[in-house]
Amino acid sequence: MSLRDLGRTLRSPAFRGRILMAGWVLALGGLLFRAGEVQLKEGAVWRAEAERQHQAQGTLPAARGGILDREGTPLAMSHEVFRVGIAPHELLDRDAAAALLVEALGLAPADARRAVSSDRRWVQLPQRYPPRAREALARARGIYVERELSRSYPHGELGRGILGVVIDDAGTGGIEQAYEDHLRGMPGSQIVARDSEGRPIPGETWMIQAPRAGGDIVLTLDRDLQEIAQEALLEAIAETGARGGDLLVTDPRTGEILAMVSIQDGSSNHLGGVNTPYEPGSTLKPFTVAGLLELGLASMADSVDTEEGRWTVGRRTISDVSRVGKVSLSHALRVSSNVGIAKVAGAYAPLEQFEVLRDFGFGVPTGLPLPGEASGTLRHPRNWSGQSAVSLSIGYEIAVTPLQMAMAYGALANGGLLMEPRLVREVRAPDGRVLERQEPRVVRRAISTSTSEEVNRALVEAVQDGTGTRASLGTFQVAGKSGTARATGLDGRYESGAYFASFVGFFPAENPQLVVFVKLDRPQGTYYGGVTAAPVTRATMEAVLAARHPPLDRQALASIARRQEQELRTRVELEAMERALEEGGEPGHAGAPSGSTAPQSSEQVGAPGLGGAGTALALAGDISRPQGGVPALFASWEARSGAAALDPRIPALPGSEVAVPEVRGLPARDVIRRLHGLGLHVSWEGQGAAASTLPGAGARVHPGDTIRVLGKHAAPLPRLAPGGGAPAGAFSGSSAAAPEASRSAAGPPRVAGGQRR
Amino acid sequence: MTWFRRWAGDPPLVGIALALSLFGIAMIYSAGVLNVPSPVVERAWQRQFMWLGVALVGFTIVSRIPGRWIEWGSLPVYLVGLVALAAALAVGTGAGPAESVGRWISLGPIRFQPSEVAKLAAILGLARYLSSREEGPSSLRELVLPSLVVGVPLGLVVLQPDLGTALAFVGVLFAVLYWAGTPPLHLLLLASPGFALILSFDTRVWSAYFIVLLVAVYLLRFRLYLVESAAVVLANLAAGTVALPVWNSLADYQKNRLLVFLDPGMDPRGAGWNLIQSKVAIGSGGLFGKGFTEGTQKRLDFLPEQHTDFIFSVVGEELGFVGATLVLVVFGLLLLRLVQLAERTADPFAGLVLFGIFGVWLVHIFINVGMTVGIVPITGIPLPFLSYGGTFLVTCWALTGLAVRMAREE
Repeated sequence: MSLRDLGRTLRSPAFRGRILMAGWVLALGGLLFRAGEVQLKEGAVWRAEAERQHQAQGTLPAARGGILDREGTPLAMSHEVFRVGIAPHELLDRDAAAALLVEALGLAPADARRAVSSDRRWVQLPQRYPPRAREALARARGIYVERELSRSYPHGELGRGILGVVIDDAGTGGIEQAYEDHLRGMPGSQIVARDSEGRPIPGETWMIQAPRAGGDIVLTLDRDLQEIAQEALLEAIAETGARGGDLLVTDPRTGEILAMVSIQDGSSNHLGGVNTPYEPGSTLKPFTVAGLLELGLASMADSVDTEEGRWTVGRRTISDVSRVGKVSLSHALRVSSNVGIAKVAGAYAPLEQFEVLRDFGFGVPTGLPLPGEASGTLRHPRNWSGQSAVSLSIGYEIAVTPLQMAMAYGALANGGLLMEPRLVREVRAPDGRVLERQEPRVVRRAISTSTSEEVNRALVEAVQDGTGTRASLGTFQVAGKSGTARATGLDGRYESGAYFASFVGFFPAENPQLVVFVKLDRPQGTYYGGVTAAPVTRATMEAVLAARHPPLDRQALASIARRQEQELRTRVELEAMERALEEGGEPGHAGAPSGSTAPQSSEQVGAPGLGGAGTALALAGDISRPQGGVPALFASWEARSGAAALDPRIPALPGSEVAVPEVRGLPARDVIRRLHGLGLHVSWEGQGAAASTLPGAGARVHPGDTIRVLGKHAAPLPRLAPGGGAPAGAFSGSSAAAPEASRSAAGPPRVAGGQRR
Repeated sequence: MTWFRRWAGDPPLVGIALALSLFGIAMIYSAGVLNVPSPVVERAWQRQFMWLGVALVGFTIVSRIPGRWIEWGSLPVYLVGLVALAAALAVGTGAGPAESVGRWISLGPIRFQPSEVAKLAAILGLARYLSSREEGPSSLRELVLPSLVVGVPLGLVVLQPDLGTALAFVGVLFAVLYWAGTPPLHLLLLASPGFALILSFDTRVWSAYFIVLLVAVYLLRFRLYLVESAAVVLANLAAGTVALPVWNSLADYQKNRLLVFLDPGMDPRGAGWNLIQSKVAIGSGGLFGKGFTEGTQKRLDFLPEQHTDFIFSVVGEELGFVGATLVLVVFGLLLLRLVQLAERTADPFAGLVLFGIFGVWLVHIFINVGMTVGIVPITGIPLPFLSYGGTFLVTCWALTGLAVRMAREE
């Protein structure tokens, strides 16, 4: 073939067709090769890229465990809320969408319209909405709901300092922080499909690991008591103009903290009770005395000369508020004589004095599981100055936390055992199983039972006619001690005119069930602890007794009351017999027949000399009910000084009728407080501010009756739903029928299930 | 099946076109299956189905027009095409993603793209001109007129601006000229200013190219007229020097598409988005794909223009390499059938028209698929029979009808 032929062939139509065909096949081959490269060779890379683009690993929040009070009432809980996002461009009918938002979320119509007609691709509504709003929105196109868990505290600020808060999903302060690991649970993870706008695609999620919910923590706190304590403290602060204060209620038998409130500058978000030591002053004296008795260095009967209320040791002069002259040690403690106590404490060797206080737990952290607990300051004798022994004996040169003080008084109250304070009762698994139950723990025996009894007797007297009379309570004897110490400022120096007024008491003095610690920071005007803090203690105790379910051993209380009644009766009978003998008449019928009547009023019991017997005379003015067996909780008890000892602030005179106050429109908290203050129980129905009461305002009822309060909104609050029962009913186990059962028609309607305890 | 044979005229060609169209509707349906539904895309397959009906009617009509009429009608059709393009420049409106670009003309309720009509016009015009001559162009001078026949509508399309469609005209020009018997060397010289334009972005490369060109022209001095040689050299020189002004005259999105083609990572959320997302979609499809309607990139709205320009990406993602290969093989058969038909016909005009159609589709398929797999810049050019678009589908079927008609010419 010649070159010319070749050229002709190359230009022939058939060949040109082949060339074009070949060119096309080549082009196709190129495309296929490239497609193969992208899809097969680089496939894994692009697949990874695709997943990276549209799959986001999301965390699934674990439901945080709740914090419950001893009754299981939630103090902190987590619940689901929803955030709502809108993609305006995806809405088919904007007006309908706006209407839906208004209806389902309660949005203002103007806001709803603005949200749906925005030019932006994504509008996030700022609020969080309850789960029920989800149903209506879930099916709507262009509206997206996102689940979130929110922490709520159903009782507001109540116990805020103890509970702490959750900030950025982390417990901060209090139990929330201390039990963070347990409460938090384990967040799960999931893969979420996102579109190119980064929005999650509903239904396109793959769970990798399910979240594990956190478990509950059951506290020893009692919600009612906590509320009572908070109100009592707030009221006291308001009345005395104090800057702040602490109020603790503990159970001396177990070391359980039933209520703990610290308020400083109007905020209750404080843990002053465990992290702020102070100089206790006179409230420390019982321990000085207890140590002296325990070591055999002194006895209560020892007499001490208080030297006209002034005593100079070295270059320092100690003085008393009132001059008592030469008295017994018991008397010196009762009247809180600095001179007397300091003198007797001279019998201590320094190390003995140190060890006694240390044995009561001072200077050592109590081990409460709360962040930032302070140990206080109790210096070793080698660091003492010449004045230290004297200072220490009357509560200076030592710093203690309110909790330490409450625990130390607990040791006096329970027969000498220093208990470890307990705030957590149970640690529960998410399914409710109890993982850990914290049992009462004895730290050590601080003093013998007999010593504690001796000291307690003096403390009862201190309440009866010493410095703490304003703490005295009706039926039950109270033991306690007031203290007034100069307050130190930030620089550690004493501030002039600034005092810590405190009172620590426990009751009933016989077999105590509650220790109440009250401290007021810089009360204005009269600053003595016996004047300012003691009434708070009493008000707290009263309110506790009137509470619906006080964590008290009612049988024990009832038996104490019964025995006291018995003693009274015996005494009356004896007196009657004596009178009869004197008059030559027949003995026997003057007294009250057993189980029926008792003296009608309170004034007839002079009770001279009864205090010395160690069993206080508690005479109930209202024990004369037909069934008779149970005295009312509120009885006027009169010290030798008579009814005057009663603070006029006690609103409900024991046994007498009270009028139901007008509470309409008041918030629940105030209503409960007022009714508690009158010794009434509250059964709350509905939500919101009080709308009405049953019986209505002005009706005459008896302390201990249950008042039904109807909230503005009908939905029942879970924890106040009917079924709580009247606490007085609980007494029926130990005596005749519940006293209320006989009450007039004016009384509240009975609620079922009263025998909860 | 006789009715089909009778109706279709050429069953292989029409069968392939019909299969591609129906497959296209299926893919357009899939393109509308999104996690966040878009009402427009969701119902596009139904409209495409309707358009297919219109297109088949158009095919039926075109395939039955007597061949003489077509030959005679070429010049009027050509002129109408030019007028329509000019009108689009003057009163055209935008649509869809290219709203600012005047590519559409509204005639009463009907909106169409003049550039699609102009393709048909250019094919007919060029074929008419070349078939009127005894011999194919054998000198550069003889290429000037045919180049102008295609160059005028091409220029009008560039002015729209629609770079992708303009390339289709280039495809028509070269395929037809080659078939007409133009020596390949002349075609290369004709194309040389285009190379110069592309290479001018690097002065050194352009300089080297220009020297090679000068040498080639010198070696070919006995086969070229002096004027031709001078014209080629000047054209290359001009292309090299005007490159920058031309570049500056380009619309931003056109510049971006070119730049992004060179470096897709330059602006991944912006101009590079389409290219990257298309590759991610196709690449993540792997060998067998994610399954019909199951493509995640498409569903989650990552893939842009998934029912129009990037329909092939949906094929690649959901049906994998296997599906992509099948589609390309079918396209291959489509064009091979055109070549077969062209070779069979004795009528020069018919052969030239068939190769014009060949050129248009080749450019469309190569550039569209090429851009989805990343070997060609993003130019916004649809895939014949598969991409959503009424005018385009009707045009494709009109060209099919034309091909069937021409194949019958003796």
